[in-house]
Amino acid sequence: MFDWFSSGSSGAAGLDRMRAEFCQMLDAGRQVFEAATDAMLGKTDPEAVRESLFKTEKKINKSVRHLRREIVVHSTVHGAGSFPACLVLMSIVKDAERIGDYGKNLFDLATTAPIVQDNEWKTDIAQLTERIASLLSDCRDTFSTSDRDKALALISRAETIEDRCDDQIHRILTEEPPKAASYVLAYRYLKRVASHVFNVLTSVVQPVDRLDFAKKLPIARDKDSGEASKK
Amino acid sequence: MPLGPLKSRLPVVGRVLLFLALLFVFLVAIELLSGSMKVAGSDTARSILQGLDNPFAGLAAGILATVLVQSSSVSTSTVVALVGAGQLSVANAIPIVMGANIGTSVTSTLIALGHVTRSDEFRRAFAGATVHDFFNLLAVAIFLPLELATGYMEYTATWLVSLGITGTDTGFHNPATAAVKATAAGIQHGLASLGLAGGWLAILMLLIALIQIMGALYFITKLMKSLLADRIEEWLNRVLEQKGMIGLVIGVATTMAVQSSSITTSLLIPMFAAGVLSLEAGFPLVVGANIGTTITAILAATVTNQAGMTIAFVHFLFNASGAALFLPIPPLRRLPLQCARWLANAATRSRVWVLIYLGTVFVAIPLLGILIWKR
Repeated sequence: MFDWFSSGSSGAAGLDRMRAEFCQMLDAGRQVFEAATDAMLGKTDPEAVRESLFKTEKKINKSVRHLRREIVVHSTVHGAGSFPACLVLMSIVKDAERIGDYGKNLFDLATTAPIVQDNEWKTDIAQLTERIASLLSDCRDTFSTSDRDKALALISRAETIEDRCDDQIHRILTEEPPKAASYVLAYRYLKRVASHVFNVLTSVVQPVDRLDFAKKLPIARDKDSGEASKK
Repeated sequence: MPLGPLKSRLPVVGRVLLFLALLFVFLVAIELLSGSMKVAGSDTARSILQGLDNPFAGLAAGILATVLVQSSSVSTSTVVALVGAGQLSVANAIPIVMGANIGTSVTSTLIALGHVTRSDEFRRAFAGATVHDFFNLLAVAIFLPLELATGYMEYTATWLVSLGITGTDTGFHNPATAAVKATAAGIQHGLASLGLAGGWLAILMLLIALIQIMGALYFITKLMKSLLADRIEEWLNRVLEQKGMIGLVIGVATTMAVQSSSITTSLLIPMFAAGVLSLEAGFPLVVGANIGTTITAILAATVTNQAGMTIAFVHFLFNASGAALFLPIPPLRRLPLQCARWLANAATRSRVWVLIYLGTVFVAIPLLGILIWKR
């Protein structure tokens, strides 16, 4: 009945601040991705980018926790009206963090098995990395301006890239001897299933801002699974 | 007029004017309450309040009254009006004000029960809520006997009032106070012109005043929260980033702004529950909320007299003394935190402890206190 009393503060300032920090996360994610893929494709020495890459990735993780805290405060102060925006942010913050994580995975690939041999695969992967880097940059701009039409166009570009990746994976698994590739993918997917189960479990024992992070767990952990974060 | 269009049309200036209007209604209510006591006559009012000569009965009454109205601002403002009307002495009012401090902490404790289905969340939320309770209980356990033995708060408040920060009986009359008094007198005359007199007039004035106080404070709180929500969000984020005593300042500022310690402490509960605010970082905020809430009684006292202002200052001094004793000394600072953690752990293991705690501290002990000590 008296809702109009409390309708004065839209919470726009807090949301704007969180969206700006999220955009910085996307920028940092793109930096990690570009540095990692350059190293993977032999364009740069992995050791030359290692320190800054890991530093940036840590910065992304720190932002995740910071944004989660801000989301809790924002939704507490502004109440139910802020929940849709907060839930969206809570969800996409995770995606921005994953971009950094996969960038780190690509960097691991650069240090263990870089793609050095010039062939059609390397050319294709190089083209895809350029398209993804460009997509990341455009995504950041589109998110900050909330341009719906541009977002729809970018979604189409992202889907095309995903389709291309699926096609290439299928080709590797079916046209070439599938042994190594299928084993690697099987392990990768098994690990991801276990990691997501881990993430669900952290929601029982960890505060909101530390969800999915293994550090400072209140339970004893097996040393072999002591990653900073389960991805 | 539909409220929808009004929502978007009520600008900040309008809200500020609305705040001033509500403050006016609140002050008129305080004046009306004082007036009702005068109409009732000294003997009637004193016979009702007589039992509160015993400090423990006063303490119990303060707890129970505040639990019932869920607002220490309402109960302390009422006490200020009673003291201002000369129906309650400052000395007898001090335990009531201390009891109001304990009673107001039940609100955040009840809010913490909303997290009862998730053990870890509930433990954190309940500890965050009851740290306020334990701080107030410990402060009363220390300062009530000290006050009874020395009367230092009453002396200090009387001295502060004598410096000139006083009520209306000092020769200084501002137009706002004059308007408040004129409006309250107008209401009284209006009721009297309906044929009401004596006890019935006093009861009706009292009822109108209490409804006005509760209504005005309810809407002031909502309005100020809506005006300052962005700023409060910014302040709370600052507490999360900068540990230490900044929480005290932010607790004082937030509560002064929204005129309700319950709003401030209740805002903290989801943050405690989510684990983004630790008990150590949140404790100064809770203590700050206790200090900030004293502004309401001071505002109420501006339309009373020196005695009214004295009890309002006692309320401030009591909460400031608690902060000065508990925050800087680590072993004392840890005490309410440890009590809250212990109770939260027990309550998480068995929810029956929640019922025992709430029933004992906020209902049974105050009721027994009144029955035993009220003569």
